[in-house]
Amino acid sequence: MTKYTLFPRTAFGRDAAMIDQIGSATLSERPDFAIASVAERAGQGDLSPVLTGAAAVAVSEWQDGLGRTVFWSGPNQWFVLADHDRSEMLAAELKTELGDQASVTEQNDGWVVFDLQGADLTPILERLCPINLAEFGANRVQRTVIDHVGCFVLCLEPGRSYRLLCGRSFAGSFAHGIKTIMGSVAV
Amino acid sequence: MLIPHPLLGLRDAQEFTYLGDASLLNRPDGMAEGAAEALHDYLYLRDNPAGEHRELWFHEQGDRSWLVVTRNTLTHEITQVEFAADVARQKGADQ
Amino acid sequence: MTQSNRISGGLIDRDLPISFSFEGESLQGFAGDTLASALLANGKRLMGRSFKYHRPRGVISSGSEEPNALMHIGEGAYRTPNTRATVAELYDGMVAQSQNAWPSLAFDAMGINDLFSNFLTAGFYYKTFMWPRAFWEKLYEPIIRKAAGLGSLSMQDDPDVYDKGFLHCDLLVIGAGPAGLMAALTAGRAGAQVILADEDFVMGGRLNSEVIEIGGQSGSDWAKASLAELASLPNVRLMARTTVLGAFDHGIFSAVERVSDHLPLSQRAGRARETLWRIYAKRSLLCAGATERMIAFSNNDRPGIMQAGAMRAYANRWAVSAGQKVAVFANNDDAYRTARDLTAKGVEVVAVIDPREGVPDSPVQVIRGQVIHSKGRLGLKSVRVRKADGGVETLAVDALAVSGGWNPNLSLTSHQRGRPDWRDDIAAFVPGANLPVGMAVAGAAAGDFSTHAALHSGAEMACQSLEALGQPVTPANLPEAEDAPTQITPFWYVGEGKARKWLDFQNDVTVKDVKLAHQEGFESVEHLKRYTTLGMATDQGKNANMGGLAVMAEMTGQSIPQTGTTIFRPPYTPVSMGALAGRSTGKDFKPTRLTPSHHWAQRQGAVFVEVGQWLRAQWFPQPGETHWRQSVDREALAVRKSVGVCDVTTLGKVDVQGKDAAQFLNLVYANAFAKLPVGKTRYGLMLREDGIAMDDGTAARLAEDHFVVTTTTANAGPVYRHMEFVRQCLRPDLDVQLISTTDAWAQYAVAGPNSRKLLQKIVDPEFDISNEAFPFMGCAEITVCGGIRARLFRISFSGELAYEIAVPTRYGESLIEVLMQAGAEFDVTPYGTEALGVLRIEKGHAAGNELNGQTAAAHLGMARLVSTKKDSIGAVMTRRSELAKDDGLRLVGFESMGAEILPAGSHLFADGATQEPANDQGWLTSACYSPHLGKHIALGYLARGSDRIGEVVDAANPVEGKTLKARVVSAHFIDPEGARLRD
Repeated sequence: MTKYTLFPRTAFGRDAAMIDQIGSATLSERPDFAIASVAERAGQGDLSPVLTGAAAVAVSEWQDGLGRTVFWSGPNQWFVLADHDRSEMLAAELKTELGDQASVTEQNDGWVVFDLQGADLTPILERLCPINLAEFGANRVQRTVIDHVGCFVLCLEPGRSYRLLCGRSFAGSFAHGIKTIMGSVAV
Repeated sequence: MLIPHPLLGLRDAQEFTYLGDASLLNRPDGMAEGAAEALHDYLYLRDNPAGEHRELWFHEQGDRSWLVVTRNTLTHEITQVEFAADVARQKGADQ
Repeated sequence: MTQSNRISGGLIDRDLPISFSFEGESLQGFAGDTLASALLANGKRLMGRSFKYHRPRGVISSGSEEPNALMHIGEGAYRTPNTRATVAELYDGMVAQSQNAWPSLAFDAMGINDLFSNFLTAGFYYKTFMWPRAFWEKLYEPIIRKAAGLGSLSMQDDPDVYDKGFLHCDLLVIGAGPAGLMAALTAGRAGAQVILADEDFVMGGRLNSEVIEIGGQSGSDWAKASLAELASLPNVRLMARTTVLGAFDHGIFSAVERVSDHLPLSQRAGRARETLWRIYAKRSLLCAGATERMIAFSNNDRPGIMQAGAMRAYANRWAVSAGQKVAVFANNDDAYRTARDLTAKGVEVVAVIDPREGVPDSPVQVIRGQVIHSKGRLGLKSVRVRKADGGVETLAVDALAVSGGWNPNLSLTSHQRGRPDWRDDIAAFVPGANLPVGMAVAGAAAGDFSTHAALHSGAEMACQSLEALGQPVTPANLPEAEDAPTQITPFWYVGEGKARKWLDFQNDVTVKDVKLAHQEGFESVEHLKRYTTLGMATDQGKNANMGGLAVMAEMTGQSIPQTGTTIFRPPYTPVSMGALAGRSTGKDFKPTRLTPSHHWAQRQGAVFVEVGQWLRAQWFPQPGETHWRQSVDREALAVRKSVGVCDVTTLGKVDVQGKDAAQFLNLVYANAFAKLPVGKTRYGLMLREDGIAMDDGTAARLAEDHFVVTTTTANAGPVYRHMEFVRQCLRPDLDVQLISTTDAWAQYAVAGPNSRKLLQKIVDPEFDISNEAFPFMGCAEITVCGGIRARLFRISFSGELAYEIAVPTRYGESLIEVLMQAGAEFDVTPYGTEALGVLRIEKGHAAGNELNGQTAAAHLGMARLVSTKKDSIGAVMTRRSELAKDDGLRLVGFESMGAEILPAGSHLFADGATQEPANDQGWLTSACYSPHLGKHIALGYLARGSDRIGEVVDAANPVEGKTLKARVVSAHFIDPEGARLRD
């Protein structure tokens, strides 16, 4: 054994997750997710039922199953979220399950997950990204751009709860951009 | 402009990166006889039509698909959008 | 003087008085006033000075087309120039100043320009200030710019903030007059997603300015009731104070909403001043109304002369009389409403002057004739009328309402080059057939001028728009409304009179200027515009274009439609630069990416540098170091002597997996990859198809079907896109999948002779990283610090024994702390990008400066790397004669012969050769001081460079007028055999 130990830090260089309430909206960092990306290998068909243990995941949607959230990220590609404490090795677990059917890549720390929650988030989101919110119901997901940062937006509850993922190195700018608009709308 | 993505519907052209003429799909075999001439034509001889144009767009801020978009360069009317991979596969099947 | 011209009625709130100041004078208005209406209420007719001649001017309109009443509003950094008083909603504490006048609005010294007007006609500066040429930029232009002009900037940073946003709808209705309201009601009741946008702060359009009835209610009451109904519909979004600026392809519109500009400063804190919306509309309906045009006559620009429609808008909506005694001059029946409405309000209307043959009945005296002159320099005193019977009469009036007819507001229909059609019956252009996709036009904007026609076309077009979307609608019953026909005889300017007849108030263009332009051959409307400036500046010709076209048509003997129009372009009205920038200003101009060691580096006092979006540590100053070179030299030497650590997370990482991953990389890289064993890393050169180097990096084979590819920091995005192009467009038959993992792993270079010893202290003991077990170019998935998974690559950018180690990013900050602790015994040194650069230049590794889009493999000395045994992107073109020729540029090293630095970018000449392009033999790409060699060195491309080792060349720096001598050496200043790497 080496005598050195590594400690995890959040994308903001802290021990605890970032959380900020502005007006009636709250933006919170969720470092408790393990993340993996799964891409179907040639000719394997739709793997999403395997990932959820149930129904297939439709284009631009997410589904829960087997303690995971699986969302569509492109043709024959999915992102999988699971609890980090239980499944830090999520990518390895999935690779074991899927074998040569899929290419699996660890994304635990490639992306930062944020939850945006509040009484009425529409005025905030429509100032952040071009998603058509009227058609963006629960279980929908869209890759988009917020404040020049590419990201995924998942709708958990229309108008009240969304999950956002951005590249980890962008976390500071991304959160700053969102909080700026939360402040602008809160006045 | 709005590009009607085959899976995702209308998406703002701002989400895409433009490459150019879809003839870039027709890359000559670099090991074949006359490859230098063929690659010269592939690289440098392009049509620049005032009208219907098949061109490559990459959905960078979306599903990361390369698309073949048929667009009228005079009106910006888009008449067809296909996955470039499908077009390329079909081309392979045809040969 | 307190609101001497305020009359009864109106839509202002008399219970809410508002204090403001104009030209330093404190004045009062009411809530609901615009700055223009409040000034008129206070008897202020003089509101500005004209652009060129500094003519005293008053307000001519009550809307966004206003050319004259342009103001500075606000103080200090908040001062906004060129604000139209007609759309500036009055707020408590507003400070307004006229512009383009000195020392005061009433006495403007530059008014002297007016006396020299004969010299200042169309194109005057092209003719007058031609010679000597050099004087233009230094003398003439600054003087002209100072004398002629609009408002001036505060020269301070904009203290306001601006938002942007995105909206989607089935139907965007632009303009909330009778047509727009009826359209929104029709579509809203049918359940469609509707946005109704209007530039005014009170919706209703002309309904608030006219005395008309709709369904037994006053027009403004009907508008209010309709708006209340629309507000109750969840599928309708009402956007007042929102100007639609442009119509773009496929139903995309830009619109600016004034969010807090109309509030007292104290209520603005934290709010955006404006929001710029990008609206995605499946269909759009333009209901933008019409703009009244003036008639040109001698001195028709006196303060007090205004549009007939504006004069009655001031009376009806704002309860303001434009004067005590007024007259009307018009060629159409519509303007008679002004006489009727003002009379009803108790204002004395002296006469209506009408040039037409048959004039309608009116309770006011009608004089058949024309206005031929006016008096009153700072405010109208009288007008002279030539009667049809030849007599002349002078009318003492202080306000004159003028109407030459109405122009449909069709700007947005021509933003995509749509050309309007001419309609004789209304003597105006209406939108043509080639509208932007999905757009329809209704109401006065379509030439449907009566209230009934507007309601009818609004409803009709809304139905058609929704039907086109597959949403059938039952048309609503229309309320009763007037349906007066348009009665007009075209009449553009009065022939009689020697004084100037103004067409374009904003740019001081007269009838004579247009005639002069014609005389000088500028007949095309586009030339006319550029030569005379007709139709430019903030009003974009909304007032003046038609008059100018009519005069040109007369001169050329063509009809107005034959003469044609200039094209309207976005924006419809002026837009603040701040709104276009949104929140992307200053540090927020682009996102900043932070490395895993960022916070740690901050604590070490690192100096940071922007590398694209990344912020990287440039060097780490230590106590006592006063110059960056001291820090950088120390860091670079420490790596060569013992061990250093540098955060290299910014390098792009692409995960390449699949059965055919190796075959795929074989195509993407110029060198061979198919036989790279698992557990090995290889340098890869990526070419563009034309043979030019695109990027370089490494590919590590973690498994038969799994590679991790690195790219340079700057090219991470483009290289990934290129790889996807190859995968999807060229070889969809291959089984390969790509995804970026740049941010997933914190990666550090651990470099120097003691690097292995350092790593052995943290790598878990079950992993043997001895030279034998883990040789140069090895790679492995390992664990460190008791089970944390890591990736280890034995690669070197510095030329020393070196590794790159990666851990999940959340452990990245902790890892560098551990490396510092564990490395203390070796004096481990963190190094930044500057030392990284020094080390790689000393080793002769190419980087961005060398891969600059001009260089091929041969130039880099890598011609033999490009495999001829396989097909790869760019391989064939690499071998074309010009790129492969033996006497081409080659990457070599240079040593300064003196003590001076060799500036990168210097061009190379043979020793003593004349420095001219024909003798240019290359250039220096990267330069630094090498602390290891103790001299200034550089890399560069030199013609036949590899054959010229030892030769002395001139490095010319013409920017500083310097030439330095440099000796050509191998690019590998350090350990050319690479023994250290393999140690």
